[in-house]
Amino acid sequence: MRLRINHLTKRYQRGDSWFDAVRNASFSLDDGALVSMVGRSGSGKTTLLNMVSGLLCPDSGEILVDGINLFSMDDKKRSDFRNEKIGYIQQGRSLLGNLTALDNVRLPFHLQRRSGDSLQRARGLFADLGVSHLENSYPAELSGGELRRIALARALINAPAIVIADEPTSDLDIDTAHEILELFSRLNAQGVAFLVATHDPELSRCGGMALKMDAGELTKATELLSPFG
Amino acid sequence: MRNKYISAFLCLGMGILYIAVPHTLLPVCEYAETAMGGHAAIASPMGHSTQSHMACFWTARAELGLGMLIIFGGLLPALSNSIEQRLGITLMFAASSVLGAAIPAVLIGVCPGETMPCRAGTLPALLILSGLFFLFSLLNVLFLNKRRKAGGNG
Amino acid sequence: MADKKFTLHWLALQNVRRKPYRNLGLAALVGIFSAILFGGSILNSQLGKGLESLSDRLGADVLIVPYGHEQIAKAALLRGEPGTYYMRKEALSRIREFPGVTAATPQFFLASLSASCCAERVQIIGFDPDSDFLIRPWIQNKITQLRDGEVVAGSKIRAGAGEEIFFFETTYRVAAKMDATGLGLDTSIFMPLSALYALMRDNPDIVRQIDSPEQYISSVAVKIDPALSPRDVGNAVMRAYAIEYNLDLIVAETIVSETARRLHTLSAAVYWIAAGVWALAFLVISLIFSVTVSERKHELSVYRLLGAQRSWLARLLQWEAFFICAGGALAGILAASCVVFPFSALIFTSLKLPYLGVSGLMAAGHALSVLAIAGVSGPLACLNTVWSVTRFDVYNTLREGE
Repeated sequence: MRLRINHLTKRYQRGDSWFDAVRNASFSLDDGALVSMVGRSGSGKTTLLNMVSGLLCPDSGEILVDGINLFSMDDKKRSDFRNEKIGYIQQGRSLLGNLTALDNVRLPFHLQRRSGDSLQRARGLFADLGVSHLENSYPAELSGGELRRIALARALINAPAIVIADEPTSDLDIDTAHEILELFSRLNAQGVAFLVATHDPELSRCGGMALKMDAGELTKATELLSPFG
Repeated sequence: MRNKYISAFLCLGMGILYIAVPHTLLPVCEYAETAMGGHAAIASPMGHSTQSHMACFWTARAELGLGMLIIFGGLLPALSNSIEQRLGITLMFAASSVLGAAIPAVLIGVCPGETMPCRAGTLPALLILSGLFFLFSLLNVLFLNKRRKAGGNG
Repeated sequence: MADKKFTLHWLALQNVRRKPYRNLGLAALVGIFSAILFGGSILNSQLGKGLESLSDRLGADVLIVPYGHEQIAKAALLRGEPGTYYMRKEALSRIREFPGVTAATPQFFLASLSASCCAERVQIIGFDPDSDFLIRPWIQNKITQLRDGEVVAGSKIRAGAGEEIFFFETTYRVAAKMDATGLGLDTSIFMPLSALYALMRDNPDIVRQIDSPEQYISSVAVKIDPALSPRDVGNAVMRAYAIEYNLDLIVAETIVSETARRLHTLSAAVYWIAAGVWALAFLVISLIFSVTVSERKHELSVYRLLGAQRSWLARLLQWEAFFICAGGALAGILAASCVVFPFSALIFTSLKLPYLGVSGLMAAGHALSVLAIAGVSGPLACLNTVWSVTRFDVYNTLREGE
C-alpha cells in the first residue's frame, strides 16, 4: 500500500483567532517504511496522525491511498480502511476495561466479516510479544508496558499495512520503552510500515525517515525522502 | 464475608415467611364442620373435649416448626468462618425447602376443595416459597463451592 | 468461519454486565411493567373465558327465585356459594302455562356441610331430568338417565366419574362429570329432584323450616319465546304471581352484562396502570441511556478508531438496550406467572367473578407479546441517544480522554 499525504492543513479556532494545528504537511509512506515524527507536546503530531487514519477531515490537502482520496470515501469505506489497513496504538489507555486482554486483541478482527480464526491469531501475537501469560487478565490488572504490548498485538491482529503509534513510550520507564522500540524495529524488519509520533529522540535513531513537527510545520529531516515528498 | 450475612438475612426472611404464610398472610382453615352443623368435638386423652382440626391446620403447625428451624439455622452461617460448614448448612436448607413443599403437598396435605382458602392460597404460596428457597440454596451451594475451590474463606 | 463467541450480541452482553447494578435497576423497572401487563392479560383472558362461559351456559332467559334471594341465587350460580332457599312448587305449573314461556324447569338448591375432616361445603342442586335444559347439555359423557344413588358432579368436585362421594351420611356414585364452566356449577353436585326429596325426607334436620320438601323448589329456569323480550315476559310473570308466591326475578342478560361491565372496569384499570408504568420505564431508560452513553464516549471512540462503522456502533447500543429490557421482561413474566397461575382460584374468588383457565398456547402468546413490547421499547427509548452518539467527534473525544 502506498500512502501519499499532500499539503494537509487543519485549522482550529481559539477564542477569536484561528491557528493552524497542521500546516501544509506532506510526506509519503510505502510498504515497510519507518517514519518517526518528533516534536514537543502540542506541536500537531496527534492531529496529523488522526488525519492519516481517516478520523479527522483536513481543511485542505488530501491523503491518497493507492491513488484514491481517503476523504472522498464514505464512512463505511473509511472505517473499513481503518480496520484493514491501519493498526492504531493510542496515547494513554486505549484497551476496553470490560474485555480480557485476549478479547481486546480479537475485537478488531470481528468488526468486519472475516474468515479465519482470531483466537489462534491472537495467541500467536501474544506469544511473539511475550505476553501469553496475560491472556485472561483485564486491563486494570496490567502495567504500562504490558498494556502497550497488548495494544500493539491489537494493532497487528488484522495484519495491517501500517501501524500508527501515538507517543508509544511516553508513560513508560526507560527499559520498558527500549523493549517496545525494539519490538517496533523487529516488526518493521518483517515488513510492517510504522508511523510513530514521539517526543523521544531515541526512536528517530532507530532508522527510517525522521520528521520534525514544530507548531504545525512538518520539517523534512535527516534521511532522503521519497521522490514524491 | 458479605455472603454469609446476606445468607443469614435471607434465611431469617424465609423462616419468618414459612411461619407467617399459613398463619397470618394466607391462613388455613381451623375447624371441621359436622353434617348437622356446629363444630365437631372429640374427647382428648385428658378427658377434655377438643375441637377437631383439618389437615391444613396440622400443615400450618409443621411449617411453623420448620420455619423456626430455618431461622435458627440461618444464624449459624453468620457465626461461621468456615466455607465447608456453611456449605453443609446450605445443603440442609435445600433439603428443608423440599420438606417445606412436601408437607402441604404430600405428607400432611390441605383440604381437597379447590376454592377452600388453604388450597387456593396457602398451598401455592408454600410451594412457591419452597421453590425460591431451594433455588437460593442451590445458588449459594454453587457459589460456596466455587469459593472453596478457589481457596477463599469469605 | 466466524468465531461463534465473538459476536455483536456477545459484546453487548459483556457491556451490560459491566454495570450490573444500574442495568439491574433498569431491568427491574421493565420487569414491573411486564409483570403488570402479562399478569393483567392473563387475568383478563381468564375472565373473558368465564364471561363467554356464562353467556353460553345460561340456558335460561330468566330465573324465578324466592323474594329477597336474588343475590344469593346469583352467588350460587356465579361463585358456587352454597345456600338453601325455597318457594312453593305450585308456582311452576302457573309459570309453565304463562303466555310467552316456551319451557320451564325447576331446581332445588341445598347446601351441604362437610361431614368429615377435610371435606368441603358443596351446593347440591336437584333438577328435573324430564324438563331440564340447563345441565344436560354440559355433561361430559352424555348419560341418558341417572339411577338410584347416582349424581352428576361439577368439574371441580374431587371425585371422577365412577368414584364415590359422601355427604349427609350417604354415599353416592358419580355417574358423570360436568364440563368446566367457570361458574358456581363447577363446585356443585346434581341429582334428580326425586332423589333429593328422598334425602330430605330421610334427614329432616337438613331443612328444618319445611315439613314436606316435595312441595317446594328453589328456582324456576325459564325459556322465553325468542320473538319476545325476556324482561317484558318476566315482568309480566312477576305482576301475575310475585305477591301470591313471594317471587323475585333475575334476567339472565343482566347477569351477563353486569359481569361484562366489571370485566371491562378491571381490564381498563390493568391496562392503564401498565401503560403508566411503561411510560415511566420508557422515560427512565431514555434518560439513563443518555447519561450512560455520555460517560462511554471514550470507549465508543475506541471502537470507531478500530474501524467500527457508525451503524455497527448503533446496533451495539441497541442490542444492549434490548438485552436489558428483554431480561427484565422475562423476569417480570416469570414473577407474574408465579402469582396468576397458582393463585387464580384465590384471585377470582376474591373478585367474585367467573373465570376459566387459559391454554398453554394462549399464555405463551401473551408472554411473547409482552416480551416483544418490552424488547422493542428499549431500542426505541434510546434511539435519539444512539443517533447522536454515532455523530460525535471521535477525534476530540479521544483527545479529551488523553
